[in-house]
Amino acid sequence: MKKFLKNVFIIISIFVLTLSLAVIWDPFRVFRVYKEYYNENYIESNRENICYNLFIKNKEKTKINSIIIGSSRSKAFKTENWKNIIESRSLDKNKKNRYFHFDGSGLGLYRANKLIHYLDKEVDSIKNIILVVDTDFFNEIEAPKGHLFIQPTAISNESSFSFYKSFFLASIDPSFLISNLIFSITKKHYGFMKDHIIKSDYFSISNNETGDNYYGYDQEISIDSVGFYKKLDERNVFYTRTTDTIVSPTLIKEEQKKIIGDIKSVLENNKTNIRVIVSPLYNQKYFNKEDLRYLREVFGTKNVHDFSGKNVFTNNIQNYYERSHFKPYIATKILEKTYGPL
Amino acid sequence: MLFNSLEFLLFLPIVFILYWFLFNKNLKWQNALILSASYIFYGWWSYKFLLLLLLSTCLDYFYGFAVAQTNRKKSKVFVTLSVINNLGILGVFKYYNFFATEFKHVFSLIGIETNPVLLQVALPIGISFYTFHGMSYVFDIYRGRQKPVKNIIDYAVFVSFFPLLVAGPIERANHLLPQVQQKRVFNYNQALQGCRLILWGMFKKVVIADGLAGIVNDTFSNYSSYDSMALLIGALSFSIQIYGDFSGYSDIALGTSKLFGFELLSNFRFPYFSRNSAEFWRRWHISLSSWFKDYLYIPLGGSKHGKLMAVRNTMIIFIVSGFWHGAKWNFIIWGFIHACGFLPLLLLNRNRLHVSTVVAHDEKYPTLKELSQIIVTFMFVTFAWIFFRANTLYEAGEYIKLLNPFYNTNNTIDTTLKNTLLFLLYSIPLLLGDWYLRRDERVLRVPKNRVIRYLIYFILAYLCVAMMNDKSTFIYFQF
Repeated sequence: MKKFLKNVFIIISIFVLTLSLAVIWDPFRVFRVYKEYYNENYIESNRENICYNLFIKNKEKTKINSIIIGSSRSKAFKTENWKNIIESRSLDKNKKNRYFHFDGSGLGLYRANKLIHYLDKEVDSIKNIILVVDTDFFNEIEAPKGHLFIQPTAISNESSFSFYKSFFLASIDPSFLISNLIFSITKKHYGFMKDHIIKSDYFSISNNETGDNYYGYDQEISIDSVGFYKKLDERNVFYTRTTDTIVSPTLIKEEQKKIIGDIKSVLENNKTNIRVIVSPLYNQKYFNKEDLRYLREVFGTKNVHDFSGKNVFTNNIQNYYERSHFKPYIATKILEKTYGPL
Repeated sequence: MLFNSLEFLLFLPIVFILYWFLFNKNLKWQNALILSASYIFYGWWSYKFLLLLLLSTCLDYFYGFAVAQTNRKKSKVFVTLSVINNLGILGVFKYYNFFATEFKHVFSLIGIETNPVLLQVALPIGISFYTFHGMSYVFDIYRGRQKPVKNIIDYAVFVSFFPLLVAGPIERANHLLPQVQQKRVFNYNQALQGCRLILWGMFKKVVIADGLAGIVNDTFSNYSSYDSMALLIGALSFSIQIYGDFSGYSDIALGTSKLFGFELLSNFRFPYFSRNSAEFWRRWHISLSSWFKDYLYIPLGGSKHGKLMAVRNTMIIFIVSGFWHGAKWNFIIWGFIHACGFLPLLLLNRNRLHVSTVVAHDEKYPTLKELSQIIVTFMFVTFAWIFFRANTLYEAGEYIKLLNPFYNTNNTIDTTLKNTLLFLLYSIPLLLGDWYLRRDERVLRVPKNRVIRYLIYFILAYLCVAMMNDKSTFIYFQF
């Protein structure tokens, strides 16, 4: 018996120790707090967790009260531009607002609600919010699975164990390890790596005070814009869009309405100035009119702005990094339209 | 509780330590511990259905005594009562809705509209297994093969021993009960074999079966949009998935039992190396096939009364075996197809070929003839699995129609290529592993070189941890 237990103990210990190297390596930067999350990081990280850590670091110092919330598509909205627009329109006369960008990979309705409840507890008051939505946003009515989408436990109120387990398992995932190993050796990006390694010659840059994130693509485009789009063209990233009018089906149903009502009550308590922005997506699919009417009924007509479908923002492919994410200058124009003329 | 869950990884060492360190001197306490652990294991899924397990256990324990202590005529009554009770439990939870719907259908054909009440109740996990344990116990007492057990805890351990409670192997009283009643002594080699079986079983389930689940689920859900080759790969993947899943479960069950000093019946003997349908059924889900043989085929007369009776009885056990898997026509047709594969062998007196040894037992490789027999058998089994996996008979029929490349006009070459690669990636290690181990399913042969051996353990354990999905259940839990 002793021999058996000793052997089992030795084998399991070696095994556990080896696996725990993943925690030390910490490729997704979650097991420790980091000063810098984006320096030389080519691994796809959980954006919401990074935003959460930056938020924790800054919330006392800066008294954050104005927040941009959305998926990675919301990254185009920069707090600095928002601040300028609000101040220029005398919406913040004392210039006391402090801005923060809180986005998450594919963040949808369920997680946005959790996040708003969390912010409600954490900040003195939520004065301004921009909620960047699209047709995908309203599909999320429960917590999605996967390390890129799991919310920090302080926001989700779920167990820390599942949170860290999710990252641990992602760190030892064979395809992740193989992708990393090959990328580290060859420095070349192959198709099978696309779920794990960011395909860009430049790293993202983060503003660690506001949470704003700048894609490495910006640098690539500024150096060789033609080459950048030629590469995308070769990979058929910008597929030919139909000339027909496509309208999204009704997305806001009973479950969604319940969550939206929940969000509304928190924002009402805070007397928050909200802007709901329906993103201009490359697919040019129109946001459903019924859904738009509902959102306007809940949040007020002047606070809900739809930029979906065929329009000046979606026509030009150069307004996009790829088929999913539009550029910051588009977001700035949208903000100007949203807050009205000077 | 699932074998492939973190809870089980904690549960198993705790029970093991209590069993060998705290209660090792007292057999009664050891059995009480196993029984408690088994009830916790089962109650983890649903504590409410523990009552059903308890009821089934108590009734068969009582019938066992009643059968032994009464005359032949009366004992027959108690055997019948046991059958009614066990099949009644199965009938209510597993088959009631099926019959109610089918009766409604039949009545509507003759113009009578009925509206039967359907039960909205989950199928208790393991119900088909523990009811069969109970019945075999009472049958064996009736036939004089087994004496009734005095201690109800011993009997309850036989029915609900946690490694086999939810998906078998279906044990026999005269095999497991003596082990329950005998003092167990820790055996290093047995425990080591147990650990190896658990690891290999986990690998088959977590890596191979769950790895192929994505292809299978996608192909069977969207079969109408895939080309013939993708459908073929989907069907082949299911063959490997269900084998990895179920034999993986059985290996973990056998391995876990060894850790506690028990030897369970084998459930699989490398079925995909079978050279004909009859051999396949001697190698696939052996504990169920032999149960039906002993308690249904032989009482029906077996092959004693001529070929015609043998054909009738064979057809019955295959169809009942299909129906045992679930209350769906798909399973009945699945059983029927296997009967059709088996009967020609029976009629030609070729069903007893390859009884004793696995293919190429003393050779490294099979002959070309053997290889072609293996491939033909495997393809036949795969064809039958389509009915097993499809949601409805209609879907199975459509799936088979679309397997014909002249009929199917879809072109999904990218998915087909990707799925083919994944299929090869997952199935080759399993088949190679099985080929290496094929001479004895109970003793996992390991390389003599310690470094290579530990490296294999390490890789298997790493893949199991890395790919573990504790939401994935075993396919046979639904039966």
